Amino acid sequence: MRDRHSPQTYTGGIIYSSIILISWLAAGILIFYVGYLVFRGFGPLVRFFRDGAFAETDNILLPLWFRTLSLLFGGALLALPLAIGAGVYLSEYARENRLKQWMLAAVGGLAEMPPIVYGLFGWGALAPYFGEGKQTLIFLLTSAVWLLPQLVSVTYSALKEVPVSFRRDSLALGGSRWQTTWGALMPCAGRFLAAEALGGMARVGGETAPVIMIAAAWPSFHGQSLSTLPYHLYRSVVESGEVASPHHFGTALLLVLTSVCLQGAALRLKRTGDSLAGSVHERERGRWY
Amino acid sequence: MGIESTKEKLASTGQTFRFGPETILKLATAATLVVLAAVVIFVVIGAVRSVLLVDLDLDLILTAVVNSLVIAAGAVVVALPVGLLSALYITELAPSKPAKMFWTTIKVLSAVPSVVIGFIGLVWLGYYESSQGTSPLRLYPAASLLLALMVYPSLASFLIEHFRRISPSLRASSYALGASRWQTIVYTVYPAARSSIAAAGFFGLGRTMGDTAIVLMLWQAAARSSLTASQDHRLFTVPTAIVMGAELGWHHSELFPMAMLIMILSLAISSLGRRFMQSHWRVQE
Repeated sequence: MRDRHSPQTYTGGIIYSSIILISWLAAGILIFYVGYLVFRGFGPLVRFFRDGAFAETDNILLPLWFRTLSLLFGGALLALPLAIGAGVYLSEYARENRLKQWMLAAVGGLAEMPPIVYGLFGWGALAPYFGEGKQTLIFLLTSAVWLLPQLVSVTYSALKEVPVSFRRDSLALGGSRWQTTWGALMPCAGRFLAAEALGGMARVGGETAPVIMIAAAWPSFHGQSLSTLPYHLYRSVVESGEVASPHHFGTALLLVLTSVCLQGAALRLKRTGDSLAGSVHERERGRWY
Repeated sequence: MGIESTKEKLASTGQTFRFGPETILKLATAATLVVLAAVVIFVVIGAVRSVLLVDLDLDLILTAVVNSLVIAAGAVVVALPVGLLSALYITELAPSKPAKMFWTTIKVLSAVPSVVIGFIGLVWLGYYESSQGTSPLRLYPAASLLLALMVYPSLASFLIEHFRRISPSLRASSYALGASRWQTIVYTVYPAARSSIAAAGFFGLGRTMGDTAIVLMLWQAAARSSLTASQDHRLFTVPTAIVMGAELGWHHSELFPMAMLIMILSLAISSLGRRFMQSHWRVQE
Protein backbone atom coordinates (compact mmCIF):
# COMPACT_ATOMS: atom_id res chain seq x y z
CA MET A 1 0.00 0.00 0.00
CA ARG A 2 1.25 3.40 -0.89
CA ASP A 3 1.95 5.73 1.92
CA ARG A 4 0.36 9.17 1.68
CA HIS A 5 3.72 10.81 2.05
CA SER A 6 5.69 8.65 -0.29
CA PRO A 7 7.66 10.59 -2.88
CA GLN A 8 5.57 9.57 -5.87
CA THR A 9 1.84 9.28 -5.70
CA TYR A 10 -0.54 8.22 -8.40
CA THR A 11 -3.03 11.01 -7.63
CA GLY A 12 -0.26 13.55 -7.65
CA GLY A 13 0.80 12.45 -11.12
CA ILE A 14 -2.73 12.63 -12.48
CA ILE A 15 -3.43 15.96 -10.87
CA TYR A 16 -0.33 17.64 -12.01
CA SER A 17 -0.65 16.51 -15.56
CA SER A 18 -4.17 17.90 -15.49
CA ILE A 19 -2.80 21.17 -14.13
CA ILE A 20 -0.51 21.38 -17.13
CA LEU A 21 -3.34 20.48 -19.48
CA ILE A 22 -5.78 23.04 -18.10
CA SER A 23 -3.18 25.81 -18.01
CA TRP A 24 -2.22 25.31 -21.62
CA LEU A 25 -5.87 25.00 -22.58
CA ALA A 26 -6.61 28.39 -21.03
CA ALA A 27 -3.60 29.97 -22.69
CA GLY A 28 -4.66 28.26 -25.90
CA ILE A 29 -8.04 29.97 -25.78
CA LEU A 30 -6.32 33.34 -25.41
CA ILE A 31 -3.95 32.60 -28.25
CA PHE A 32 -6.82 31.27 -30.33
CA TYR A 33 -8.93 34.39 -30.13
CA VAL A 34 -6.03 36.68 -30.83
CA GLY A 35 -5.05 34.45 -33.72
CA TYR A 36 -8.60 34.59 -35.02
CA LEU A 37 -8.52 38.37 -34.79
CA VAL A 38 -5.25 38.50 -36.71
CA PHE A 39 -6.59 36.05 -39.28
CA ARG A 40 -9.73 38.08 -39.95
CA GLY A 41 -8.35 41.55 -39.34
CA PHE A 42 -4.91 41.58 -40.88
CA GLY A 43 -6.08 41.91 -44.48
CA PRO A 44 -8.52 44.77 -43.82
CA LEU A 45 -5.96 46.58 -41.68
CA VAL A 46 -3.29 46.42 -44.36
CA ARG A 47 -5.83 47.56 -46.94
CA PHE A 48 -6.87 50.51 -44.77
CA PHE A 49 -3.33 51.67 -44.39
CA ARG A 50 -2.39 51.08 -48.02
CA ASP A 51 -5.40 52.44 -49.89
CA GLY A 52 -7.21 54.94 -47.88
CA ALA A 53 -4.81 56.63 -45.54
CA PHE A 54 -5.20 59.95 -47.32
CA ALA A 55 -8.38 59.35 -49.24
CA GLU A 56 -11.58 61.26 -48.59
CA THR A 57 -13.51 58.09 -47.89
CA ASP A 58 -15.02 56.93 -44.65
CA ASN A 59 -11.69 55.43 -43.78
CA ILE A 60 -10.87 57.13 -40.52
CA LEU A 61 -8.74 54.52 -38.87
CA LEU A 62 -5.44 56.35 -39.09
CA PRO A 63 -6.59 59.68 -37.61
CA LEU A 64 -8.52 57.73 -34.99
CA TRP A 65 -5.39 55.89 -34.02
CA PHE A 66 -3.34 59.07 -33.76
CA ARG A 67 -6.05 60.71 -31.71
CA THR A 68 -6.25 57.74 -29.35
CA LEU A 69 -2.51 57.73 -28.80
CA SER A 70 -2.17 61.49 -28.41
CA LEU A 71 -5.08 61.71 -25.98
CA LEU A 72 -3.62 58.84 -23.97
CA PHE A 73 -0.13 60.32 -23.76
CA GLY A 74 -1.56 63.80 -23.17
CA GLY A 75 -3.57 62.54 -20.21
CA ALA A 76 -0.53 60.74 -18.82
CA LEU A 77 1.62 63.85 -19.21
CA LEU A 78 -0.99 65.90 -17.38
CA ALA A 79 -1.20 63.41 -14.54
CA LEU A 80 2.45 62.41 -14.20
CA PRO A 81 3.97 65.47 -12.46
CA LEU A 82 1.26 65.56 -9.82
CA ALA A 83 1.29 61.81 -9.38
CA ILE A 84 5.05 61.51 -9.05
CA GLY A 85 5.12 64.39 -6.60
CA ALA A 86 2.41 62.85 -4.47
CA GLY A 87 3.92 59.37 -4.64
CA VAL A 88 7.37 60.64 -3.64
CA TYR A 89 5.89 62.66 -0.81
CA LEU A 90 3.87 59.75 0.53
CA SER A 91 6.76 57.34 0.28
CA GLU A 92 9.72 59.46 1.37
CA TYR A 93 8.57 62.55 3.23
CA ALA A 94 5.30 61.88 5.02
CA ARG A 95 5.55 60.80 8.63
CA GLU A 96 4.20 57.44 9.62
CA ASN A 97 0.87 58.40 11.09
CA ARG A 98 -2.84 57.87 10.73
CA LEU A 99 -3.15 60.59 8.09
CA LYS A 100 -0.64 58.86 5.83
CA GLN A 101 -2.48 55.56 6.22
CA TRP A 102 -5.72 57.28 5.26
CA MET A 103 -4.17 58.95 2.23
CA LEU A 104 -2.69 55.67 1.05
CA ALA A 105 -5.98 53.87 1.52
CA ALA A 106 -7.87 56.58 -0.37
CA VAL A 107 -5.44 56.57 -3.28
CA GLY A 108 -5.37 52.77 -3.42
CA GLY A 109 -9.14 52.53 -3.31
CA LEU A 110 -9.61 55.14 -6.00
CA ALA A 111 -7.02 53.47 -8.21
CA GLU A 112 -9.17 50.35 -8.30
CA MET A 113 -12.41 52.24 -8.86
CA PRO A 114 -14.36 51.19 -11.96
CA PRO A 115 -13.76 53.57 -14.90
CA ILE A 116 -17.47 54.32 -15.12
CA VAL A 117 -17.17 56.45 -11.99
CA TYR A 118 -14.61 58.68 -13.71
CA GLY A 119 -16.79 58.68 -16.79
CA LEU A 120 -19.67 59.90 -14.68
CA PHE A 121 -17.43 62.64 -13.31
CA GLY A 122 -16.53 63.72 -16.83
CA TRP A 123 -20.15 63.58 -17.94
CA GLY A 124 -21.69 65.29 -14.95
CA ALA A 125 -19.04 67.72 -13.76
CA LEU A 126 -16.54 68.52 -16.51
CA ALA A 127 -18.84 68.45 -19.55
CA PRO A 128 -21.40 70.99 -18.27
CA TYR A 129 -18.59 73.18 -16.92
CA PHE A 130 -16.55 73.42 -20.11
CA GLY A 131 -19.47 73.20 -22.49
CA GLU A 132 -19.70 71.97 -26.04
CA GLY A 133 -16.71 72.29 -28.31
CA LYS A 134 -14.21 71.41 -25.61
CA GLN A 135 -14.67 67.66 -25.83
CA THR A 136 -11.00 66.94 -26.29
CA LEU A 137 -10.09 68.93 -23.21
CA ILE A 138 -12.80 67.21 -21.20
CA PHE A 139 -11.61 63.81 -22.25
CA LEU A 140 -7.99 64.70 -21.50
CA LEU A 141 -8.94 65.88 -18.03
CA THR A 142 -11.08 62.83 -17.37
CA SER A 143 -8.35 60.40 -18.31
CA ALA A 144 -5.83 62.43 -16.34
CA VAL A 145 -8.06 62.24 -13.26
CA TRP A 146 -8.46 58.53 -13.79
CA LEU A 147 -4.73 57.95 -14.25
CA LEU A 148 -3.82 60.06 -11.24
CA PRO A 149 -4.49 57.61 -8.36
CA GLN A 150 -3.08 54.72 -10.39
CA LEU A 151 0.16 56.59 -11.05
CA VAL A 152 0.43 57.71 -7.43
CA SER A 153 0.20 54.18 -6.14
CA VAL A 154 2.59 52.99 -8.85
CA THR A 155 5.15 55.61 -7.80
CA TYR A 156 4.68 54.71 -4.17
CA SER A 157 5.18 51.00 -4.72
CA ALA A 158 8.13 51.58 -7.06
CA LEU A 159 9.89 53.60 -4.37
CA LYS A 160 9.05 51.02 -1.72
CA GLU A 161 10.74 48.34 -3.83
CA VAL A 162 14.09 50.12 -3.44
CA PRO A 163 16.07 48.62 -0.55
CA VAL A 164 16.39 50.69 2.62
CA SER A 165 20.19 50.56 2.36
CA PHE A 166 20.07 52.95 -0.61
CA ARG A 167 18.47 55.58 1.60
CA ARG A 168 20.74 54.88 4.53
CA ASP A 169 23.91 55.09 2.47
CA SER A 170 22.90 58.28 0.75
CA LEU A 171 21.97 59.92 4.05
CA ALA A 172 25.23 58.73 5.58
CA LEU A 173 27.14 60.45 2.78
CA GLY A 174 25.48 63.68 3.81
CA GLY A 175 22.84 63.81 1.11
CA SER A 176 19.69 65.71 1.86
CA ARG A 177 16.37 64.00 1.65
CA TRP A 178 15.73 65.42 -1.80
CA GLN A 179 19.21 64.42 -3.00
CA THR A 180 18.55 60.93 -1.68
CA THR A 181 15.25 60.70 -3.49
CA TRP A 182 16.41 62.21 -6.74
CA GLY A 183 19.94 60.89 -6.88
CA ALA A 184 19.73 57.50 -5.23
CA LEU A 185 16.17 56.22 -5.35
CA MET A 186 14.83 57.53 -8.65
CA PRO A 187 17.51 55.98 -10.88
CA CYS A 188 16.70 52.66 -9.25
CA ALA A 189 12.94 52.99 -9.17
CA GLY A 190 12.53 54.81 -12.46
CA ARG A 191 12.54 51.74 -14.64
CA PHE A 192 9.87 50.02 -12.59
CA LEU A 193 7.90 53.26 -12.42
CA ALA A 194 8.00 53.76 -16.18
CA ALA A 195 7.05 50.14 -16.78
CA GLU A 196 4.08 50.26 -14.45
CA ALA A 197 2.96 53.59 -15.87
CA LEU A 198 3.03 52.16 -19.40
CA GLY A 199 1.03 49.16 -18.20
CA GLY A 200 -1.55 51.46 -16.66
CA MET A 201 -1.72 53.42 -19.89
CA ALA A 202 -2.31 50.24 -21.86
CA ARG A 203 -5.30 49.58 -19.65
CA VAL A 204 -6.63 53.13 -19.80
CA GLY A 205 -6.17 53.40 -23.55
CA GLY A 206 -8.45 50.46 -24.21
CA GLU A 207 -11.21 51.49 -21.87
CA THR A 208 -14.49 52.59 -23.40
CA ALA A 209 -16.58 53.77 -20.46
CA PRO A 210 -15.26 57.35 -20.01
CA VAL A 211 -15.55 58.14 -23.73
CA ILE A 212 -19.06 56.71 -23.91
CA MET A 213 -20.10 58.81 -20.94
CA ILE A 214 -18.58 62.03 -22.24
CA ALA A 215 -20.08 61.48 -25.68
CA ALA A 216 -23.43 60.89 -23.98
CA ALA A 217 -23.41 64.46 -22.73
CA TRP A 218 -24.28 65.59 -26.26
CA PRO A 219 -26.64 62.97 -27.69
CA SER A 220 -26.87 64.45 -31.18
CA PHE A 221 -23.18 64.62 -31.58
CA HIS A 222 -22.22 60.97 -31.20
CA GLY A 223 -18.73 61.72 -30.07
CA GLN A 224 -17.49 62.63 -33.51
CA SER A 225 -14.57 64.82 -32.63
CA LEU A 226 -13.48 62.70 -29.72
CA SER A 227 -14.09 59.22 -30.85
CA THR A 228 -11.10 57.07 -29.98
CA LEU A 229 -10.40 53.59 -31.26
CA PRO A 230 -12.26 51.65 -28.53
CA TYR A 231 -15.22 54.00 -28.70
CA HIS A 232 -15.27 53.78 -32.49
CA LEU A 233 -15.26 49.98 -32.30
CA TYR A 234 -18.07 49.97 -29.75
CA ARG A 235 -20.18 52.48 -31.64
CA SER A 236 -19.82 50.88 -35.05
CA VAL A 237 -20.41 47.35 -33.76
CA VAL A 238 -23.51 48.42 -31.91
CA GLU A 239 -24.93 50.54 -34.70
CA SER A 240 -24.21 48.45 -37.74
CA GLY A 241 -26.41 45.51 -38.58
CA GLU A 242 -23.49 43.28 -39.44
CA VAL A 243 -21.21 42.52 -36.54
CA ALA A 244 -18.52 40.55 -38.33
CA SER A 245 -17.53 43.12 -40.94
CA PRO A 246 -13.89 43.50 -42.04
CA HIS A 247 -13.82 47.08 -40.81
CA HIS A 248 -14.56 45.95 -37.26
CA PHE A 249 -11.93 43.24 -37.40
CA GLY A 250 -9.38 45.75 -38.65
CA THR A 251 -10.23 48.22 -35.89
CA ALA A 252 -10.13 45.53 -33.22
CA LEU A 253 -6.79 44.25 -34.44
CA LEU A 254 -5.30 47.75 -34.43
CA LEU A 255 -6.58 48.27 -30.89
CA VAL A 256 -5.14 44.96 -29.70
CA LEU A 257 -1.81 45.71 -31.37
CA THR A 258 -1.62 49.11 -29.70
CA SER A 259 -2.36 47.77 -26.21
CA VAL A 260 -0.10 44.78 -26.65
CA CYS A 261 2.77 47.00 -27.80
CA LEU A 262 2.38 49.28 -24.79
CA GLN A 263 2.23 46.30 -22.45
CA GLY A 264 5.16 44.60 -24.19
CA ALA A 265 7.23 47.75 -23.78
CA ALA A 266 6.32 47.75 -20.10
CA LEU A 267 7.44 44.14 -19.78
CA ARG A 268 10.72 44.81 -21.52
CA LEU A 269 11.35 47.69 -19.16
CA LYS A 270 10.60 45.64 -16.09
CA ARG A 271 12.47 42.50 -17.07
CA THR A 272 11.13 40.34 -14.31
CA GLY A 273 10.80 37.33 -16.54
CA ASP A 274 14.23 36.11 -15.60
CA SER A 275 13.47 34.40 -12.32
CA LEU A 276 9.97 33.19 -12.85
CA ALA A 277 10.03 30.04 -10.84
CA GLY A 278 9.22 31.08 -7.33
CA SER A 279 11.08 28.09 -6.26
CA VAL A 280 14.24 26.41 -5.23
CA HIS A 281 16.86 27.30 -7.76
CA GLU A 282 18.12 23.87 -8.30
CA ARG A 283 18.25 22.49 -11.76
CA GLU A 284 17.18 18.92 -11.98
CA ARG A 285 15.87 17.14 -15.05
CA GLY A 286 15.73 20.50 -16.81
CA ARG A 287 13.15 21.90 -14.42
CA TRP A 288 13.25 24.65 -11.90
CA TYR A 289 11.70 23.51 -8.74
CA MET B 1 15.89 58.69 12.77
CA GLY B 2 18.57 61.32 12.64
CA ILE B 3 16.78 63.32 10.01
CA GLU B 4 13.65 63.48 12.08
CA SER B 5 15.44 64.78 15.13
CA THR B 6 17.31 67.37 13.04
CA LYS B 7 14.02 68.58 11.70
CA GLU B 8 12.59 68.75 15.19
CA LYS B 9 15.57 70.82 16.28
CA LEU B 10 15.16 73.15 13.34
CA ALA B 11 11.52 73.51 14.16
CA SER B 12 12.26 74.34 17.79
CA THR B 13 14.78 77.04 16.87
CA GLY B 14 12.06 78.86 15.02
CA GLN B 15 13.04 77.96 11.48
CA THR B 16 9.66 76.46 10.74
CA PHE B 17 9.15 77.15 7.04
CA ARG B 18 11.65 76.86 4.27
CA PHE B 19 10.68 76.73 0.64
CA GLY B 20 12.19 73.62 -0.88
CA PRO B 21 11.42 70.39 -2.63
CA GLU B 22 9.28 69.27 0.26
CA THR B 23 6.94 72.22 -0.17
CA ILE B 24 6.44 71.43 -3.83
CA LEU B 25 5.84 67.78 -3.09
CA LYS B 26 3.36 68.69 -0.38
CA LEU B 27 1.54 70.95 -2.83
CA ALA B 28 1.42 68.15 -5.41
CA THR B 29 0.02 65.76 -2.82
CA ALA B 30 -2.56 68.29 -1.74
CA ALA B 31 -3.59 68.93 -5.35
CA THR B 32 -3.91 65.21 -6.00
CA LEU B 33 -6.03 64.70 -2.92
CA VAL B 34 -8.23 67.68 -3.83
CA VAL B 35 -8.84 66.30 -7.33
CA LEU B 36 -9.68 62.86 -5.99
CA ALA B 37 -11.88 64.29 -3.28
CA ALA B 38 -13.70 66.30 -5.94
CA VAL B 39 -14.62 63.10 -7.77
CA VAL B 40 -15.85 61.42 -4.61
CA ILE B 41 -17.73 64.45 -3.32
CA PHE B 42 -19.34 65.03 -6.71
CA VAL B 43 -20.73 61.50 -6.77
CA VAL B 44 -21.78 61.54 -3.12
CA ILE B 45 -23.56 64.89 -3.38
CA GLY B 46 -25.34 63.79 -6.55
CA ALA B 47 -26.44 60.59 -4.84
CA VAL B 48 -27.68 62.33 -1.71
CA ARG B 49 -29.54 64.92 -3.75
CA SER B 50 -31.36 62.37 -5.85
CA VAL B 51 -32.13 60.18 -2.84
CA LEU B 52 -33.68 63.16 -1.07
CA LEU B 53 -35.45 64.82 -3.98
CA VAL B 54 -36.59 62.08 -6.33
CA ASP B 55 -38.43 58.86 -5.68
CA LEU B 56 -36.03 56.40 -7.17
CA ASP B 57 -36.66 53.33 -9.25
CA LEU B 58 -35.37 51.05 -6.52
CA ASP B 59 -36.20 48.00 -8.57
CA LEU B 60 -33.79 49.03 -11.31
CA ILE B 61 -31.02 49.85 -8.84
CA LEU B 62 -31.42 46.61 -6.96
CA THR B 63 -31.55 44.54 -10.14
CA ALA B 64 -28.44 46.25 -11.45
CA VAL B 65 -26.47 45.66 -8.25
CA VAL B 66 -27.53 42.03 -7.95
CA ASN B 67 -26.79 41.46 -11.63
CA SER B 68 -23.34 43.00 -11.33
CA LEU B 69 -22.50 40.80 -8.39
CA VAL B 70 -23.92 37.63 -9.94
CA ILE B 71 -22.23 38.08 -13.31
CA ALA B 72 -18.92 39.06 -11.69
CA ALA B 73 -19.10 36.12 -9.29
CA GLY B 74 -19.78 33.78 -12.22
CA ALA B 75 -16.74 35.13 -14.02
CA VAL B 76 -14.54 34.74 -10.95
CA VAL B 77 -15.81 31.21 -10.31
CA VAL B 78 -14.64 30.29 -13.80
CA ALA B 79 -11.45 32.33 -13.93
CA LEU B 80 -10.04 31.86 -10.43
CA PRO B 81 -9.49 28.06 -10.49
CA VAL B 82 -8.02 28.22 -13.97
CA GLY B 83 -5.81 31.14 -12.98
CA LEU B 84 -4.73 29.28 -9.85
CA LEU B 85 -3.78 26.20 -11.83
CA SER B 86 -1.84 28.30 -14.34
CA ALA B 87 0.01 30.07 -11.55
CA LEU B 88 0.88 26.73 -9.94
CA TYR B 89 2.02 25.44 -13.30
CA ILE B 90 4.31 28.40 -13.89
CA THR B 91 5.84 28.69 -10.45
CA GLU B 92 5.98 25.04 -9.43
CA LEU B 93 5.90 22.68 -12.37
CA ALA B 94 7.02 24.20 -15.63
CA PRO B 95 10.53 24.09 -17.00
CA SER B 96 11.92 27.60 -17.24
CA LYS B 97 11.48 28.13 -20.98
CA PRO B 98 7.79 27.19 -21.29
CA ALA B 99 7.18 29.08 -18.06
CA LYS B 100 8.65 32.22 -19.55
CA MET B 101 6.63 31.78 -22.74
CA PHE B 102 3.44 31.20 -20.82
CA TRP B 103 4.07 34.15 -18.55
CA THR B 104 4.80 36.52 -21.44
CA THR B 105 1.64 35.43 -23.24
CA ILE B 106 -0.53 35.94 -20.19
CA LYS B 107 1.06 39.22 -19.23
CA VAL B 108 0.87 40.72 -22.71
CA LEU B 109 -2.68 39.55 -23.35
CA SER B 110 -3.88 40.93 -20.04
CA ALA B 111 -3.82 44.30 -21.80
CA VAL B 112 -6.38 43.33 -24.44
CA PRO B 113 -9.23 45.83 -24.04
CA SER B 114 -12.61 44.53 -23.02
CA VAL B 115 -14.28 46.06 -26.09
CA VAL B 116 -12.34 43.66 -28.23
CA ILE B 117 -13.40 40.70 -26.12
CA GLY B 118 -17.00 41.88 -26.27
CA PHE B 119 -16.70 42.16 -30.03
CA ILE B 120 -15.24 38.66 -30.40
CA GLY B 121 -17.98 37.38 -28.11
CA LEU B 122 -20.63 38.97 -30.29
CA VAL B 123 -19.10 37.51 -33.42
CA TRP B 124 -19.04 34.01 -31.99
CA LEU B 125 -22.41 34.37 -30.35
CA GLY B 126 -23.80 35.69 -33.62
CA TYR B 127 -23.08 32.45 -35.38
CA TYR B 128 -24.77 30.63 -32.57
CA GLU B 129 -27.76 32.91 -32.19
CA SER B 130 -28.69 33.39 -35.81
CA SER B 131 -31.04 30.41 -35.89
CA GLN B 132 -32.70 31.05 -32.54
CA GLY B 133 -34.11 34.18 -31.00
CA THR B 134 -32.16 36.03 -28.35
CA SER B 135 -33.30 36.01 -24.80
CA PRO B 136 -31.55 38.31 -22.34
CA LEU B 137 -31.42 35.56 -19.77
CA ARG B 138 -29.29 33.45 -22.03
CA LEU B 139 -26.79 36.30 -22.02
CA TYR B 140 -25.93 35.84 -18.34
CA PRO B 141 -23.63 32.87 -18.87
CA ALA B 142 -22.24 34.46 -22.03
CA ALA B 143 -21.42 37.66 -20.12
CA SER B 144 -19.82 35.68 -17.29
CA LEU B 145 -17.71 33.62 -19.66
CA LEU B 146 -16.51 36.65 -21.62
CA LEU B 147 -15.66 38.49 -18.41
CA ALA B 148 -13.79 35.41 -17.25
CA LEU B 149 -11.84 35.45 -20.51
CA MET B 150 -11.08 39.10 -19.89
CA VAL B 151 -9.98 38.74 -16.28
CA TYR B 152 -8.15 35.41 -16.47
CA PRO B 153 -4.76 36.77 -17.62
CA SER B 154 -4.59 39.51 -15.02
CA LEU B 155 -5.81 37.13 -12.32
CA ALA B 156 -3.17 34.57 -13.24
CA SER B 157 -0.37 37.14 -13.31
CA PHE B 158 -1.55 38.53 -9.95
CA LEU B 159 -1.30 35.03 -8.47
CA ILE B 160 2.09 34.40 -10.07
CA GLU B 161 3.50 37.60 -8.56
CA HIS B 162 2.35 36.44 -5.15
CA PHE B 163 3.46 32.83 -5.50
CA ARG B 164 6.92 34.01 -6.40
CA ARG B 165 7.12 35.88 -3.13
CA ILE B 166 6.76 32.67 -1.13
CA SER B 167 10.13 31.94 0.29
CA PRO B 168 12.16 29.28 -1.58
CA SER B 169 13.36 27.89 1.72
CA LEU B 170 9.88 26.54 2.40
CA ARG B 171 9.95 24.55 -0.80
CA ALA B 172 13.53 23.49 -0.20
CA SER B 173 12.64 22.18 3.24
CA SER B 174 9.69 20.30 1.86
CA TYR B 175 11.77 18.63 -0.85
CA ALA B 176 14.52 17.93 1.65
CA LEU B 177 12.04 15.98 3.74
CA GLY B 178 11.40 13.80 0.72
CA ALA B 179 8.03 15.19 -0.28
CA SER B 180 6.94 14.84 -3.87
CA ARG B 181 6.20 17.87 -5.95
CA TRP B 182 2.49 17.38 -5.52
CA GLN B 183 2.83 17.07 -1.76
CA THR B 184 4.91 20.22 -1.70
CA ILE B 185 2.19 22.06 -3.56
CA VAL B 186 -0.60 20.82 -1.31
CA TYR B 187 1.07 20.91 2.10
CA THR B 188 3.56 23.76 1.71
CA VAL B 189 2.79 26.13 -1.13
CA TYR B 190 -0.98 26.15 -0.77
CA PRO B 191 -1.09 27.04 2.95
CA ALA B 192 1.41 29.83 2.37
CA ALA B 193 -0.55 31.13 -0.62
CA ARG B 194 -4.08 30.81 0.74
CA SER B 195 -4.45 34.46 1.62
CA SER B 196 -3.22 35.65 -1.74
CA ILE B 197 -5.69 33.33 -3.48
CA ALA B 198 -8.51 34.95 -1.54
CA ALA B 199 -7.11 38.36 -2.41
CA ALA B 200 -6.99 37.36 -6.06
CA GLY B 201 -10.66 36.41 -5.89
CA PHE B 202 -11.55 39.86 -4.60
CA PHE B 203 -9.30 41.50 -7.17
CA GLY B 204 -11.07 39.64 -9.96
CA LEU B 205 -14.47 40.47 -8.51
CA GLY B 206 -13.66 44.17 -8.49
CA ARG B 207 -12.26 44.10 -12.01
CA THR B 208 -15.20 42.23 -13.54
CA MET B 209 -17.83 44.14 -11.62
CA GLY B 210 -16.57 47.45 -12.92
CA ASP B 211 -16.29 46.46 -16.54
CA THR B 212 -18.64 48.21 -18.92
CA ALA B 213 -18.04 47.26 -22.50
CA ILE B 214 -18.71 43.52 -22.57
CA VAL B 215 -22.12 43.49 -20.92
CA LEU B 216 -23.11 46.69 -22.71
CA MET B 217 -22.36 45.23 -26.12
CA LEU B 218 -24.19 42.01 -25.33
CA TRP B 219 -27.19 43.95 -24.11
CA GLN B 220 -27.24 46.20 -27.16
CA ALA B 221 -27.09 43.17 -29.44
CA ALA B 222 -29.97 41.52 -27.60
CA ALA B 223 -31.96 44.75 -27.66
CA ARG B 224 -31.47 45.08 -31.40
CA SER B 225 -32.52 41.55 -32.14
CA SER B 226 -35.83 41.76 -30.28
CA LEU B 227 -38.02 44.63 -29.22
CA THR B 228 -39.05 43.13 -25.92
CA ALA B 229 -35.45 42.79 -24.91
CA SER B 230 -34.91 46.52 -25.27
CA GLN B 231 -37.34 47.17 -22.46
CA ASP B 232 -35.85 44.40 -20.41
CA HIS B 233 -33.64 45.51 -17.56
CA ARG B 234 -32.67 42.06 -16.53
CA LEU B 235 -29.19 42.17 -17.97
CA PHE B 236 -28.36 45.64 -16.67
CA THR B 237 -25.28 45.71 -14.52
CA VAL B 238 -24.45 48.90 -12.67
CA PRO B 239 -21.99 50.34 -15.24
CA THR B 240 -24.30 49.38 -18.09
CA ALA B 241 -27.26 51.00 -16.42
CA ILE B 242 -25.24 54.17 -15.85
CA VAL B 243 -24.20 54.33 -19.49
CA MET B 244 -27.70 53.64 -20.77
CA GLY B 245 -29.14 56.16 -18.36
CA ALA B 246 -26.74 58.82 -19.58
CA GLU B 247 -27.13 57.96 -23.27
CA LEU B 248 -30.87 57.68 -23.43
CA GLY B 249 -31.68 60.06 -20.61
CA TRP B 250 -34.06 57.57 -19.01
CA HIS B 251 -32.76 57.33 -15.53
CA HIS B 252 -30.92 60.51 -14.77
CA SER B 253 -31.82 60.43 -11.12
CA GLU B 254 -30.67 56.85 -10.63
CA LEU B 255 -27.18 57.44 -12.02
CA PHE B 256 -25.59 58.92 -8.96
CA PRO B 257 -26.94 56.48 -6.37
CA MET B 258 -25.80 53.63 -8.60
CA ALA B 259 -22.37 55.17 -9.06
CA MET B 260 -22.08 55.63 -5.32
CA LEU B 261 -23.14 52.04 -4.72
CA ILE B 262 -20.51 50.74 -7.10
CA MET B 263 -17.90 52.98 -5.46
CA ILE B 264 -18.78 51.58 -2.06
CA LEU B 265 -18.82 48.02 -3.36
CA SER B 266 -15.48 48.39 -5.08
CA LEU B 267 -13.93 50.03 -1.99
CA ALA B 268 -15.30 47.23 0.20
CA ILE B 269 -14.02 44.56 -2.14
CA SER B 270 -10.55 46.04 -2.51
CA SER B 271 -10.20 46.60 1.23
CA LEU B 272 -11.35 43.04 1.92
CA GLY B 273 -8.70 41.82 -0.49
CA ARG B 274 -6.07 43.93 1.23
CA ARG B 275 -7.21 42.67 4.62
CA PHE B 276 -6.68 39.11 3.45
CA MET B 277 -3.21 39.97 2.25
CA GLN B 278 -2.25 41.46 5.58
CA SER B 279 -3.90 39.08 7.96
CA HIS B 280 -2.07 35.96 6.98
CA TRP B 281 1.42 35.29 8.24
CA ARG B 282 3.88 36.32 5.59
CA VAL B 283 6.71 34.01 4.82
CA GLN B 284 9.97 35.87 5.15
CA GLU B 285 13.41 34.67 4.32
